[in-house]
Amino acid sequence: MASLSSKIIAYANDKGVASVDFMSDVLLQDDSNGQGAYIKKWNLDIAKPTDEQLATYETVANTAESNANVIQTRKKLYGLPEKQLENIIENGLQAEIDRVNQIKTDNPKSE
Amino acid sequence: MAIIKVSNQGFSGTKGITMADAFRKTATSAFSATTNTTITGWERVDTEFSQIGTGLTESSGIFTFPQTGIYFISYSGVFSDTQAVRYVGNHLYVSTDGGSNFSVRSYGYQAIPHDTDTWYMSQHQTHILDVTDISNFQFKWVINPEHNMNIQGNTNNRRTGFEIFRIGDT
Repeated sequence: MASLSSKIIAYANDKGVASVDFMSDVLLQDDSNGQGAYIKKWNLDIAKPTDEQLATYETVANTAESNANVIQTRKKLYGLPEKQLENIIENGLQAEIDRVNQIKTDNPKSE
Repeated sequence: MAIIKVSNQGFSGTKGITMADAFRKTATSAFSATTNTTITGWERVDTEFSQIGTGLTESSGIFTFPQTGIYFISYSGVFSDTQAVRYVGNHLYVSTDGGSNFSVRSYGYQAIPHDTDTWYMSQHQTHILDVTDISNFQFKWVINPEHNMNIQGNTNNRRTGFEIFRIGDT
């Protein structure tokens, strides 16, 4: 199940808002009482979504979360810049291109 | 040379600390991204420590006071993550109306700079609170990480926890 924040991002993107700052635009809260997270404050210009509206973004949000995990995996496998630079110097640019492409092939993103 | 004589008559005036208490998070648990989540799972520190005076009362992460007075709170949290985050918010929320409304009274932030491996960080803050009404004053600790993140806890040592001292009358 996608997180509330992912569904809000998907909803906002769909309404033409490119990004959501959860420190100022939207504040989420979970009182740890078993009720889960909810929208505490909504400061975006677009209308605050209902639970039913957010539920329709479940699939889109799940894909976004899955792809975010893939990106994290790729970044770890790419390694720090010094590792990439060392590979280029020692083995040539093509070796690094091949390595990065293989990582992307092994860790595909969902459409 | 001056000679100071110490008798068993005791001191007059100050009685020293009349209330000291300490709590820690008992286990590591995950907190959701971008959500202000109340920290639960507290226990009173019971290793080489016993509270002085009457301690706090805790229920579902919300603490209440044993008596009015001015309290000093020292808190620190330990967090870990495997990806870079711009912020992990760690805030003290205080209610003066019996828990109907909470306001942030102390902000804390920390960041993790890199994506590789598991990174650990610790964030510390202190706060002074004048509790004038024990029926209505409450507080809680709230976590707000940019990404899903683990907050460290352990029942044998303090990783995320706080100490509180009553330092004077209201």
